[in-house]
Amino acid sequence: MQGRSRTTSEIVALKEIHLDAEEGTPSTAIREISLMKELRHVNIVRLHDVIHTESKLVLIFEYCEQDLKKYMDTHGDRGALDLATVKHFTHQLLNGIQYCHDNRVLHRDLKPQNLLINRRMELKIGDFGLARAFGVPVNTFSNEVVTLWYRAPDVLLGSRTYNTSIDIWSVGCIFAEMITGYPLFRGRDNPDQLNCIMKVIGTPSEATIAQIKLDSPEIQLKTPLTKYSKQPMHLLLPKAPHDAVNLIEHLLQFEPSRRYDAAKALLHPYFTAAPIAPPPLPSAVSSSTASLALPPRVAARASQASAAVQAQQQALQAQQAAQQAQQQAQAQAQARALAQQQQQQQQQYMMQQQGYYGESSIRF
Amino acid sequence: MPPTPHPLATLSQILHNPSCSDGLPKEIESDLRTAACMLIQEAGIMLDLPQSTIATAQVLLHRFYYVSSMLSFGITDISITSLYLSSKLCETPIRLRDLINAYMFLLARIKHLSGGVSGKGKEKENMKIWEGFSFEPPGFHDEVFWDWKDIIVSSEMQILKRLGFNMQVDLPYSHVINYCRILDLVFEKDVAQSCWSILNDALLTPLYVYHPPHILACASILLTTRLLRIPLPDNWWVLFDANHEDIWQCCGTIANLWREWGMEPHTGLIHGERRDRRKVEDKWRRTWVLLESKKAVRRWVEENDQKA
Repeated sequence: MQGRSRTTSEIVALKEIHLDAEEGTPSTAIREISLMKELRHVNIVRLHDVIHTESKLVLIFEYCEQDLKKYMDTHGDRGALDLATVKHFTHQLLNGIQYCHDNRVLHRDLKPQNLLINRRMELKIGDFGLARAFGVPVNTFSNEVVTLWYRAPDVLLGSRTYNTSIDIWSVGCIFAEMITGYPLFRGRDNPDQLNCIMKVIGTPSEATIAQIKLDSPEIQLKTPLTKYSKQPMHLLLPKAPHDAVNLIEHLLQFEPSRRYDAAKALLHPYFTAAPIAPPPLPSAVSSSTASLALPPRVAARASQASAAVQAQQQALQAQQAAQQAQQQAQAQAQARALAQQQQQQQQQYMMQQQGYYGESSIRF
Repeated sequence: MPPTPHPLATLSQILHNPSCSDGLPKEIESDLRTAACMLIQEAGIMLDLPQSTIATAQVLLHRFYYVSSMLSFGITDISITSLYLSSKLCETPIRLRDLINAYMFLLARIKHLSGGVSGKGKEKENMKIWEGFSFEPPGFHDEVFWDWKDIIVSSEMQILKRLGFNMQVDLPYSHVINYCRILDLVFEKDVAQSCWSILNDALLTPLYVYHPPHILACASILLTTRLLRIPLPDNWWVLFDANHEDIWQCCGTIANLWREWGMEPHTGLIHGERRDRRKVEDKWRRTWVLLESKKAVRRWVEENDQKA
């Protein structure tokens, strides 16, 4: 659902959660709110506010035009994205997930449907309904996490003590999917998914399995794993450059402890060898159909942008226009920040009226 | 790595305790906290929940009563709801019906005990207090389930709202294990068990909203090693970023809890003064009455005001 903020006239996304008379507040909603309100990063969907009414919760999110799945369907070549875009998105995805992990949050449900892309080609991680915080302890977590195709092999084997590496596995799967246009491992069920994975990356050696069992004693193998030999990854991803294939291999390691973490992946030559140029903005979006939906201020900005394009033909004017646009953009940004602050204050006040009975020192 | 957002009470929240501002004496307020946490503990054990779920519920309850008054929110209601909420947070789901059944049993038991015990002296000693106690779980379609469900659903939203959806609870159990390893205490007899039990007992006090987990872990080690007379290097707590004043204060609070409620310390090594049995019994009885509802608390405050 969409809405528009009255104070900033920005479009926001609304997510309604109905309170169940049987179960109360759904645990996914509790998780999503309690974790997301702490996370502030350009590559994570921002949770602006929560409104509570008698029978439902409304979460107010930053608005993004589409998810990665839709983006691949509409902009890709049969789903496959061009390599510059793939690099741009993967880089942002890793940045976002690194921020989550640094703040001790496991996402646990990364998949293209949960990655949102906005007009400015920014990728934002969303849907933290399965996420959870992890601390020092070796917790036993739920085993029913992550959509099957993006589920790490250690989780498929029954691990309950997994950590950040399960998100990294999903990143590897999504990375490969953006290159080829279709999901890398498409299993029907848990055992089939494991076979799909091993048919590609090979069945781990006895020593590796022993190590995994040592790390997660709760894993019990009923039947020995079918033996598959490793396939060369570059044959599966013929279009991908050498360093991309190399990075994917580091992300898709069977043994969790050998998977790269987000920070290490970001330092891989795939990203560091050449500067990451953001691909050009898709031109289709800025046409008339889209601007109908735009709030006046954004529409004004869009027309400014198109004015700037016209002005490019005249070099002198272009410079002036660009400078002007920059100044305006700055002023706008300031105004927006101010408006947002006011809005937040207002909303806080609203929350107080609704339920806080005017207590102002809630610092928990 | 940034610290986990494990919220603690601010000084002003501690000084201006909402229930005390409404006229409830400090002593009674903390008794009620203890009793409510005992309910959570017992129900949690009955439902076979892991200690982390139980502890999370108890911490949520303590936090809640630093932003809300016991005159506005019934203690039993909040205690059953925090356990339900924490079972969601800790991924250890329970059926609402089971939870309600467990609480009905505990409440029936309290009712029986607070009804007064016949017999005196010797007879009492012989644990005849359970005579005449019986509990029938209500039928499947009993109204009482719906009443409780409504209470739990609305209290849950109150807890979430009043704590601003900050549901992160960091527990000291894993810290203790790590610290014991570093201090070479893991193979000392009883140390780990005693630390664990002390941390469980500390949950009956508001310590978990006063101090971060590493301080609590150090306090449990200090108290344990004192009780078991195990020597440790001077200023060992410096290793874990703790200061003596904080951990000593925690130990004092826990020892006080044991003394006030007449609990045997786990190691049996605190002798101290002989408890006044009568006093402890009165304390229990008074707490049981107030535990029932916010109305009971309000009535008590009114009567107390009139007396004064």
